[in-house]
Amino acid sequence: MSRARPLSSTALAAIGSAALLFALLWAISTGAVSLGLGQIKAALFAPGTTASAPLGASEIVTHAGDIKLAEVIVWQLRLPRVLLAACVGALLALGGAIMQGLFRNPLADPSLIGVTAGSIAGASAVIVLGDATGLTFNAGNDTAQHVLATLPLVSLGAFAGGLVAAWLVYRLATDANGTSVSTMLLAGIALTALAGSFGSLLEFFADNTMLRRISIWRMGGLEGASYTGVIIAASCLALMLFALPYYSRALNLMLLGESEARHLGVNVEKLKWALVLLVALATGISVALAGAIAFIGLVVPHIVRLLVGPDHRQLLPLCALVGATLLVLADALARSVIAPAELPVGVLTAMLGAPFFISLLRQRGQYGF
Amino acid sequence: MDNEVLLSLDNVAVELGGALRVAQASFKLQAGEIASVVGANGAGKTTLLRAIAGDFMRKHEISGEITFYGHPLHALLPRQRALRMAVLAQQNTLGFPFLVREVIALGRAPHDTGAVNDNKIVEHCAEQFDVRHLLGRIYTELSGGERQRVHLARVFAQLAAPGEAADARLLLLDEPMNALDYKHQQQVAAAIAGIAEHNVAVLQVMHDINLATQYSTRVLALLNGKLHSDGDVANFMQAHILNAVFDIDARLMQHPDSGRAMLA
Repeated sequence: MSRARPLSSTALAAIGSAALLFALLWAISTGAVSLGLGQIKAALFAPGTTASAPLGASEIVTHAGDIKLAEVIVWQLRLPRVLLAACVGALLALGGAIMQGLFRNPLADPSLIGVTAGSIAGASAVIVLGDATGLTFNAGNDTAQHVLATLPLVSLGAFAGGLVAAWLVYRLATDANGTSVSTMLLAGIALTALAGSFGSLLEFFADNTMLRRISIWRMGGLEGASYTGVIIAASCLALMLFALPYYSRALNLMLLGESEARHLGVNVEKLKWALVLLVALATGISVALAGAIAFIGLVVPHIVRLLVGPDHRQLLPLCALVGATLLVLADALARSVIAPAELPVGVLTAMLGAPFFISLLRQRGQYGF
Repeated sequence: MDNEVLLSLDNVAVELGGALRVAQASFKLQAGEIASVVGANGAGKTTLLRAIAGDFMRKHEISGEITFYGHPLHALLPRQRALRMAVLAQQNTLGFPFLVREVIALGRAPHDTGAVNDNKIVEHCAEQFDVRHLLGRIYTELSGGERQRVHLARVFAQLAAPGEAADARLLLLDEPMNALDYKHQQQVAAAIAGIAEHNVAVLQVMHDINLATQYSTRVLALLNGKLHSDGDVANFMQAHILNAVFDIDARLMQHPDSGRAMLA
């Protein structure tokens, strides 16, 4: 058993939790201004108190200034950002793992088969059409506040777009005999192209500020992180983690095939709808909040499966954990490699993930497709 | 109990993609029977089996009445069916690296018999199909014949009843001997005969006529989607029936031990 499975799920859960904690701390400390552990601790657990230590007058000014600066950096900039990265990373990995279970194929990833593109189109449509019809538009108010106010609505648009795309690809690529990988990937190309042309169409109606906001999604990034975003992502993640134990066993049976799952007592039609909804939720919310971040949904479930096996009862929570860790690390890396400038994190994950995907394609015979 | 009808088909027809695959199928099956469905390629064997498995539920696909332990099949929930019916498909497409033990344990999914009972059942079924030594191996690394035996163990695990007085159950097998060598074919035949004695009716699609007749109590022969003959083995093994069903010039001989008729 130990030869077939390098790690027990408990061991991976322990290692993953420790790694996530380390990643969060490192990500908070790193960036244009480096912070020490002491500063982070002070800013997090005792905001505003340390400055009253008895020091000389000039020292008080600089020290208090430091504390204040550290506090602002931690609370206003880095904490929402790393929390959002953690939630989005978990959502992306879960979305990928669920989609692979639904398609019975380890190559299915929302960003490869057009679901992400559908979400972007949905989000863009809400931005442009919402502004054009005055639904979300306050004249002359394109501030950060405005972005925040429209965030729930944009998330909803991304969710709807992802839902349509996921359902379409599933209907196209899967029949009673299983999933056709080539149809699935080709349907993904077609949907991405369709969503892209829909985006171009929207650009005719968009003004400069709309265009700028749309382009942020295309690149993928976490620099716009806010607590509103963190709350949306965290509640969505909580909902999924709460719902998933109910579906894990049925997902295991789905891997045998749709008919086989039905013969083993699964209400397959209901299950498929629930899974497509969950995938669209995970993808849509992460796209609305952090743009298109590719390959997390492909790489993370693959690694976790190699380590502990494909049983969804363990796979799904562990994917959430590893996905969170990986995106927090990737974002910290994206902020520090060319500091003080930043790489979009989506560019970084794509650079790491694309070769991984190609290597998977090369061994796909091993998966029986 | 033994004489109760477990499965009954009344004038069942299946139409797929505009073509009539099965027509006017009517028969009854009771626990203890081992019925083989035979016929030429495309005669509708698999379609008939899948209709009974509940794979066709749309109004335009299926007509007639299938009754399973006294209930119309379409009125039963998937879980209710799964507790009393297990299905082995002709092809299995599991592409994920489960351990063999986990694959067989999937057969216990509809039941709430607890991990201890389930483990015993998994080991027993693995033993029956000679895959016990593979329990810790990864399924996707197995050969075709080994995979087939693992899935057989899985469907047998699904029908395993730890209690004494088990309800009548139905086992549907589409080409159970697929990819198996002769020794394992005999093991599978023995296992099928064994489970039939425990209040289970077996309906199996068989390709090889000699295998089908050697190991079953009844033969249903399909010709172009219609039930051409239905009866015991001796009734089926007549040259004029074989000629009609398979469009051949059949030569029969006697089995050296059992004296049964064989296709030469």
